[in-house]
Amino acid sequence: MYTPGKNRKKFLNWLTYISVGVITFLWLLPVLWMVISAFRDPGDPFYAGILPSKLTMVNFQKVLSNETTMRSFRNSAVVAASAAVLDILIASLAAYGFSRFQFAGKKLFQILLLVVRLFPGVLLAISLFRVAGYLKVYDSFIPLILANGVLNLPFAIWNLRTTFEAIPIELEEAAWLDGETRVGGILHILVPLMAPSLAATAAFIFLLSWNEYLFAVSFIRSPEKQLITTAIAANIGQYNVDFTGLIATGMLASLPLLVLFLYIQRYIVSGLGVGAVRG
Amino acid sequence: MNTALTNIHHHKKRKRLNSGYFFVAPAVILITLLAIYPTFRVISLSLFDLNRRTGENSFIGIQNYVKIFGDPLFFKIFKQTLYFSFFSSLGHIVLGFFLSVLFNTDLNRKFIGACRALILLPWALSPIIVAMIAQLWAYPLISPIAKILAALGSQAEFAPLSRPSTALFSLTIINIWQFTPFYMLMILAGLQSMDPELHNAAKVDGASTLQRIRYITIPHVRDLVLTLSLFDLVTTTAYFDLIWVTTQGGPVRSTEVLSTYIYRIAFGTMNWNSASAIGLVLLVLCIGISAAVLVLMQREE
Repeated sequence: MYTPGKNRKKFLNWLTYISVGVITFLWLLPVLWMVISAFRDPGDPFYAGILPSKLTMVNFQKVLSNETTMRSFRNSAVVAASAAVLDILIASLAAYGFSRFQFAGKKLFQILLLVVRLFPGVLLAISLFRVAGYLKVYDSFIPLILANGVLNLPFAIWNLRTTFEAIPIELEEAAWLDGETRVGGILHILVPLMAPSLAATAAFIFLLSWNEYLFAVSFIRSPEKQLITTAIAANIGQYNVDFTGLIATGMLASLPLLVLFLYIQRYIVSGLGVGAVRG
Repeated sequence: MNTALTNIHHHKKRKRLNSGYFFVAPAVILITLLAIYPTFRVISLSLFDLNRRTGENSFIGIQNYVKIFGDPLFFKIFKQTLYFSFFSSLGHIVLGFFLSVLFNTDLNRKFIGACRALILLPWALSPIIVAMIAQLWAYPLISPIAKILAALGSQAEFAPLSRPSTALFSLTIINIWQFTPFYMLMILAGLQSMDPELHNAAKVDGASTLQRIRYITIPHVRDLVLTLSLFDLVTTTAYFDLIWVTTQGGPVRSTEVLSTYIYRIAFGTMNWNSASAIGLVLLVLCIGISAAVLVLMQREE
């Protein structure tokens, strides 16, 4: 039976599918190009064609056997993981205080968080650089971890607070009646319930700190303390570098993010909100 | 509720009043030590001048600021900062809005859901990786775009980041590419909280798709979009990583923005006093933008 309305709807549906698919594909072309070029033979010049003539693992072998690059990866992991742990500890306490207590100055603290969130990174870099100089912790991971920690703290607090508020206080009160202390209630009742949210927040802070460049380039001088972002950045814009090797390093540097990203992307839409804005 | 229970509740509330501070204390201490105190240090730095030869630190009042505002280069950089942040944000929000409308469909959830997740990938990349791709794509011998243009018969050399006339525009496009998907998903979340009946009712009344977007969709997400624009404008105004690594502010300062300028003065020439002064101008600019948008939002309400 011929129904024009039905056909038109079917046509529009297909149009939506195709445009969504095509836009996604086009949008990802630069990323796809990076992935394919990471498998390009170093002897296959880029001017010979957009796509490599054959695929090879040689770039990855080179990167993985390069001790300097691998050390940068380890350094980045240490800094990002420390910032994530630091923020989770401090932010879950603050978020708990926020969601369960009334106290004077609460509003002021919220404004403070917003100001920190909107604080220009370069200004923070200048002031922390000076502080690190006084405290003689310059050229170490400590100011780097603290800077990443404080900059991402507002986001972590907002995010965890939403989760705390979604858990009814009656659950805790029941535990108190059973003889739990407040800390016991937090550890035995809240933490298991919040585990997914804590993990997502930690993953997110890890991602942002792993990607961070400004603090890394400001606070670190020694070659053996370089992070992966500063190591890659040092090779960008140099025309005598091994391009395929650089691209393979870039792809490997993005790989942990891919894993974390697949894990957190559903939280991004549902819960993270404007706290996650990074422009 | 009987009296005994009410008393317990009262008792608890009073107790809670005190221990709330204990929980937020570490966060407050960290923020005070690492953000509040340094801000005041930067303010005081901006009022001094360090004589490099004698090492003498002298108070010069607002002289650093007078010097900044008397420098034509500062205004060029100021304008470039506003250009970059305004057009990046405009791109993120406008393009993000239209994409979110397109992606807001209940057709095959698996396919659309996969596309929504995949298109977010550029946002998860480090700006350094984006800068790396951008550099290579702007390098005529490597760039796929240059190859496609050449295949189409273009004679001009494709090197957008090496020309002062196109470099800042190119960086804006790169920034729009990286972050639009994120804003798209944020707006999409707002769209999905909308009652679909509204659209169906308007459809029955004969409203066209464009009319429905104009009179139903846009008013629904307006507040969300305003808040997103505010965060976007402020963060893009102080943005550093992508620009610094891609062009270092060049060629001939055509992509220099306040944050790269401050960084260069602070960590390049080690003139902390002057850098602090310009840094505070940037901070005031960021606060000003936030305040302006907040006032605007309150008035709308």
